[in-house]
Amino acid sequence: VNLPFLPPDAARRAALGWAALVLLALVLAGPHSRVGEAEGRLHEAGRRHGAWWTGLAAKPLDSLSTVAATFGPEAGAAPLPLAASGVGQVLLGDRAPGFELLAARLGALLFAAVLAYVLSRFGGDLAGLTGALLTPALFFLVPAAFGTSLAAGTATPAAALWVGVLLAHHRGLRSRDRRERIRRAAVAGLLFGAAVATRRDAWALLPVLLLHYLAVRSRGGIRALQGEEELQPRHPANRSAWRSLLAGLPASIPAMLLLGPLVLAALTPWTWIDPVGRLLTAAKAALAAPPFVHLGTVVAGGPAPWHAPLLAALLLPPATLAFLYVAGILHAARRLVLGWRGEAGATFSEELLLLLGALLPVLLAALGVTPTEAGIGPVLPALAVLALLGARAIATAARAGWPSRASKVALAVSLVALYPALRASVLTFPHGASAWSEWVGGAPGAASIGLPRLASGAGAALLAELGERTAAGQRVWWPSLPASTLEKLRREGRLRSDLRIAASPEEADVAVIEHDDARRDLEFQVWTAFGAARPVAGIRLDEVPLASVYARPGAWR
Amino acid sequence: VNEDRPEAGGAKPPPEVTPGWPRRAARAAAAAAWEDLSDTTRRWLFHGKGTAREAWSRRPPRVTIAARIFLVAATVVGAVSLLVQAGLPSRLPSDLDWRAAATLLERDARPGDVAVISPAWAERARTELPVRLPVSALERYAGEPLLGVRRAWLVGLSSAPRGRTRIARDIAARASADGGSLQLGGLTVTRYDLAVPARALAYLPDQLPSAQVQLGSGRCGPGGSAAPLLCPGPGQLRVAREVREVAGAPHTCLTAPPGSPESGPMTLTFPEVPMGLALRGGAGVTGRIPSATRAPIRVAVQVDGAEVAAVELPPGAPVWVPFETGTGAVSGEPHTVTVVLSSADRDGRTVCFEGWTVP
Repeated sequence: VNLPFLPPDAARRAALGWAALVLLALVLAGPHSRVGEAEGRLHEAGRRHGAWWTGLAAKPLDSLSTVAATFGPEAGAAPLPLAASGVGQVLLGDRAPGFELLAARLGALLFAAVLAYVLSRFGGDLAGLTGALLTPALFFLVPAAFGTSLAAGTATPAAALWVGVLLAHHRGLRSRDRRERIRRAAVAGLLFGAAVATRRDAWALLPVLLLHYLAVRSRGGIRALQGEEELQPRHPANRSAWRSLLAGLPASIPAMLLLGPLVLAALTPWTWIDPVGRLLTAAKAALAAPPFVHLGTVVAGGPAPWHAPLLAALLLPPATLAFLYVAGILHAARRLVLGWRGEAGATFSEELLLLLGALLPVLLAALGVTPTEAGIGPVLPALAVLALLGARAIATAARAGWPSRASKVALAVSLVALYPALRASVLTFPHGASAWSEWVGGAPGAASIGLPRLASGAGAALLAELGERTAAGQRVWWPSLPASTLEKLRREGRLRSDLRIAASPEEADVAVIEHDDARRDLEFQVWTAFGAARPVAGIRLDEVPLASVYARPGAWR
Repeated sequence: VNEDRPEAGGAKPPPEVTPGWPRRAARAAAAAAWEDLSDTTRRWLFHGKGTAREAWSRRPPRVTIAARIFLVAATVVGAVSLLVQAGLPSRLPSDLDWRAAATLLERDARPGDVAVISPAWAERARTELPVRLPVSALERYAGEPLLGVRRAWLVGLSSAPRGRTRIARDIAARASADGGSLQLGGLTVTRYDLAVPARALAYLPDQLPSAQVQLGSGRCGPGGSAAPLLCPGPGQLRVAREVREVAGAPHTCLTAPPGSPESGPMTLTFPEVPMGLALRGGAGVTGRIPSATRAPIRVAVQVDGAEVAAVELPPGAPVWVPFETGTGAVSGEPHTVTVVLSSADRDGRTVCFEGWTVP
């Protein structure tokens, strides 16, 4: 279809189509989605930040005097997602009653659309149109990834910016045009700054790209020493090896080194007061996440066990997608070896970059560098790169297996491989974040072996029943959601307007409890206060309870 | 032709038996068929070998074979994944199964019974089973006191993925008899009669209304319906009988803040407690986790002013610390039991204490 407003390039059109599709799907799914504690806190803090940013232009001096009060509580943690949520709330939420939640999430939804676009473009670069069409599907059809993308948080923006930096760097390396290389480097630097203003583990991108450069240089040197490659003139005779090494540095690395801290500082007004003292603190800060239980161990505050993010990366994606991810890694590893040998069709540099991009986020999460939280969030950047590798593996295999019918074979295999993931996404919605894969036996199998239930926000699915079954003016205790988020839900019409918010179970008629093994105490307090341990309603995923409603005698119709 | 001559005085050789015509015909037919079959097989083998050799010589490159294997494997994994997804509901109990279990237990459950669910996450039982039947959802039962329980109804989701847990073994190990298993769709209901039902002469949390509670020298008094007792001091220092979580399990216990060096110890004195052969119980920290403090909390139990048991609750992740002490010397008549909670640093922590006397 050749429409004047669409780009002529099919891969670019596919990318735009994916971005629009993801945005539309997320906007339509939003009113039925979960609203969790971490997101509620982010909305609260974001509103404070958003009011400050929008007031900066009008009253700059007044704004500067309130920097400490506005940004102090977060101490520089995740300023970009907070500002994105806050600006949306202030500019749109107040003017569009009934759409406050959407306004608070708009920034996050745009990041998800950007992620779809970047994935599709990167997929197109690696595997042509098949890659462009397939890559975003391999990411967004993970129910947990889609569920995470629906909410305002740090994981999806971090994934979008992580892949964005890799794409800009990758294109910069491939380009022979100096001006384009500089442009790509500037983009990589800006995106890197935005990434570190989103999540602290993004700092690792800089040493990783440096390591990648050194590895590629070393490979060239070793191959030349072994006589397997022609010794190309690396530097003029009068230039030292060090100067040559610096001169060969990809432009994106100095750009990231320069622009990264600048962008972080620009997006973090808390550091403006005392840049020397606070920039390092801001670079290490992370938003507090609710505690969770992993294989019987309570994870609260400190780093999670090393295997927690690893199991999340392996067992939260549906079985077929996990299989494709693993196949993608093996394929890239094989191509890395071929690239090392200098065989045609494989580039050592490209494969190393992709493998580092895919595996490093898992390693960082296992080492505790990534902010600790339950679920797929810590490893979401890895999943994005794994989706690229999986899509490329399918496209390459279809071309190698049946060259004459490559596109049809790729389509057929993709349909069979993606249908179970699509089915799981649809059937588990809005509880996709709790949907463990078939490998582990779904939610029941995961609960049996002590994997986290990932029920945060599941109580939102009980709002309709709460509205139908409670009497007028009753008091609701909802310990996992801040009062401001409940007010937002009330203004959106999801929480009935006459229901009042109770501060404790003793003052409440009805209590909504999310089944979080790390905080069963909240539920037991309700048992004491209501004198009963029998829920009146609940949400379950394959028999595993996610949230329950308790009511005093006579309070539930 | 060799002819065996019989030795002198030996037995006569058996007469030569000529097979009958049906057997001879069958042998001839079998030999002909075998010969024919062998020829055919030989031809097939010959042709097959040639075809295979030709196919092998025309085989696709290894890359193509690997690519095809990968694509077929992806398709197979997709199909298996779909089958597993579609089969999951049939491995889980339906609404009808739960109703059947509820009807069974409504009919057969007696006072002193408890429903034990396996796996522990299957807490739908709380909603579905009869109200009068308490539901227990613990991961293990080996060391659980199960006070007042005579029979346990094990309600298990045995067909659920990884649904076979150690819970059934724990309960069975404590039972003298089981009433047989009943399969109700996705649910298995088994009744176990406990060999030694645990019984309490006096359960201390239930005796809070008659207890004297003091923080240092200040007496704690009634503070309304929400908190039965409020103690003097900064913040809301409340003492109550509650169900609270310690180390993932619910405990019906006395909750109280420990005393600090500034306030003096928290003392709960229970007068006239009927004593038996032993005093058992346990304690743990509940509420905010983990505590940043490094000071442990000491829980001491005294009978008539003499310390008979003490446990130390470590800082950090909460644990349930049980205690048991023999009280045979003072059994048979009521005595005063005092529980003393103290710590070098209170740090907003709350102790959950459970204790009872055993006949």
